[in-house]
Amino acid sequence: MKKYSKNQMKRDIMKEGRVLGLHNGSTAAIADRVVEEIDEWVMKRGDITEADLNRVASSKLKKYNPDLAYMYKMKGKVI
Amino acid sequence: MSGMADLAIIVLAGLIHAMLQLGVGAMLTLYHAILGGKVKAKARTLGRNYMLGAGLFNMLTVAACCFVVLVIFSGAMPEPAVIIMCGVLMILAAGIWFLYYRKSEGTELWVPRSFAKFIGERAEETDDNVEAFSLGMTMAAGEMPFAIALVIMAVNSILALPQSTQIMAIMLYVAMAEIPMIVLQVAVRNGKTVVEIQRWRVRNKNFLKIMAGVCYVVLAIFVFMFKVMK
Repeated sequence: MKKYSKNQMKRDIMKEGRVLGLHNGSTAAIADRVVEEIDEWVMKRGDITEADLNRVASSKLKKYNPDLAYMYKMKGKVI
Repeated sequence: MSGMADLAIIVLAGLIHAMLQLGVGAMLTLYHAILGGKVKAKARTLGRNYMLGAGLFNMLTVAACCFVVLVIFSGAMPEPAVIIMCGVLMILAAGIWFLYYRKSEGTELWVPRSFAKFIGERAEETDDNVEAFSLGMTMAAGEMPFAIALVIMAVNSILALPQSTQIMAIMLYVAMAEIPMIVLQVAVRNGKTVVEIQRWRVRNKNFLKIMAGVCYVVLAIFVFMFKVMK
């Protein structure tokens, strides 16, 4: 079981941005906003699963970049 | 005429093997892991080694099955064995239609979730050619529950061909089974993102599932007509 970490979440989003070939600067800006929103959501919850986190990240990312949102939606669902 | 029928069986079995998605899914996960790293130039060599591992495993499996069939039956399979294999293909067709894909919005397959997670983690941590090669071999092995019947049908036809062409027939089967991985490699090199590829897979999931099942049935009927009812 992994513990939620704001910095880890930001690094993950940056990595997904690199996979998509997005500009680092724009991915960083998206990551900063989305991580704040996810943080707010996490604070209101007790235990969360990785699937919950991916689902919430996908919904938060949707308004900034649909492809990034899709990456999170498909985590663990490719195989 | 029977040579053409054997060739058609080998090609069809290879094409059905190509429709199976475990190898492609794992390769896409591998690309996802590599492209997220800092050295993108690795993508080409790791992808190539992955395909080499899968191809080598398939080639060894076909060759081993040829040897086993030769030892057990002293040549091509007798009619009762062919009929049984046709029945197995029909069952696998039903398996493809109802069991191959899990009910989810993605392309989750029948493999246990722990194995799928293991593949994902292995793909994420693949850093050199040997690891990519062994990942390819592992995925080709993982595909065997749905592929072994295809291999056996192809082997039965390979053994019916003249000896001078049997090795080429094995290579033909393996090449057909590698087609989707080659297409994936070319697509990524031409700038397609993993998202675009995964969206395509999700959009066409049902079509691929139905086509694969239909092709299993077609192969069973074809083999029955040309090997049993001849």
